Amino acid sequence: MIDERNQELASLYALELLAGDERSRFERELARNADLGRLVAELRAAAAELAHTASPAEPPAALRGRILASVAQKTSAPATGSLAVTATTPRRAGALFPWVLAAGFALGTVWFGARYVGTRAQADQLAQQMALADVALKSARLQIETEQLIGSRVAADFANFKATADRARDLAELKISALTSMLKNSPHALAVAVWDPRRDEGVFTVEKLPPNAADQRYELWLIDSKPVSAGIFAVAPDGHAKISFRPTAQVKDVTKFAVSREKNDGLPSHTAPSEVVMLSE
Amino acid sequence: MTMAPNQRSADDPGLGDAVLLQRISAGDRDAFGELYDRFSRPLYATALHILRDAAEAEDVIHDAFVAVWEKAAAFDAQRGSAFAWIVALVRNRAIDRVRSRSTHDRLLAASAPADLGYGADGTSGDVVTEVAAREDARAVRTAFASLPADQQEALRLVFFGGLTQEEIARSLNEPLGTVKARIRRAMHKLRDLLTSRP
Repeated sequence: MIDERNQELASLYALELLAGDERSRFERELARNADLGRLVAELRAAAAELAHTASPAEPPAALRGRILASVAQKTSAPATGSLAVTATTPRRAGALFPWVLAAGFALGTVWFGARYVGTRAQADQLAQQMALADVALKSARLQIETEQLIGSRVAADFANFKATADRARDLAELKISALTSMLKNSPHALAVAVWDPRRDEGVFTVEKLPPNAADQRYELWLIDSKPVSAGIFAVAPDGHAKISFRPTAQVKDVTKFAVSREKNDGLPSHTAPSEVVMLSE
Repeated sequence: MTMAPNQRSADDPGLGDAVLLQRISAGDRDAFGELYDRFSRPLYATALHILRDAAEAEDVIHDAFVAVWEKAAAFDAQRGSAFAWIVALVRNRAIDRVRSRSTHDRLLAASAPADLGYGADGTSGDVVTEVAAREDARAVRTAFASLPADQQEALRLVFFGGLTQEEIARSLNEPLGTVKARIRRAMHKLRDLLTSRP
């Protein structure tokens, strides 16, 4: 029987989620608990099956050949421990033998010494080359990172500039007009119409306009070659109103804005103003 | 190489895999080619899913199979199936590459189920078209899809995201204990479902 704690650790271990002391402790427990070992093996097998839940993808056709070629190369590499030695020097008996042996030993020592010095020099040279290559690699990486950083900053600056330019262009194309009152009883009424000709829409704000009577409504007009209604609106008791508007008919070149006072007949717009109470310059 | 004492029947593909590894350890290239043909598709799909880069996935599969050739004798069937062993070789290499890219934070941010190629219901968007592809894959997908969505998500973050327990807890905004218990339940249910398949 495996307790819940070990079941949990087995699951985490099978997914390689255990680390450090926790992993070491569990592996010690695993070494002496055969049931736990079987559970881990089963959980590992189940975890591996998750590979089948990846979106299917066919490995490149050439990959099999590449792998087999790598394996063949490793297999055909010359074995390092198979050096064969054949004795070609006839044995000589007698007093000369020790001298020949000593001379051979001396020559061998000199030869191996020279090889050692040469190899050591080559190794040092190789190490220097590797160090230089490492420095060059780090330098190249640094340069790439720097260029990427600069590139990203330039891109960000460009995006900001473009946004600013777009906004400036949009603002430049807006038509902003102030409307003044033509009413004697409220000469301080003031309104501003902001018109975006590219989108055929605008915003109208008015202050200090007398609240409309119950049987009356105000109506906003765009003056093209003729007045085009932008809809009726009501004014709050404090004289304030703000509306987003669109003309009820197509306009080409809006030159002025006007506000009229209309009878509250239930219609959303009219074809011509009745009594103009505000007009832009 | 050690064979598991509870090794399944002779027609069990798991047993065949272990035998292939035994032959590979003796230098049998035909066995190696056969093993590649058996496993390369899910392994490549896994590497690609983790790395999101075909060239890197190819390199990982190459290196992992060369490692199989070199280390086949070290395979211990007591510790798990041959497939599990090779999946671990691939997965570890792929996750190491992801981490060495220094884009782990980006991976964390991109760990939402939808970004891992799954729909909000936790099932693969390609499941329908893949049903006929492989019987094994279908069984696994069916089993996986039967897990609750939160358990599927946790397993995906571990297996394909290579996240640690703590990273998963942060990513899901859940206590660590909850995440551990969720993984335990998911793994045990998945094992039960897969071992009970015909």
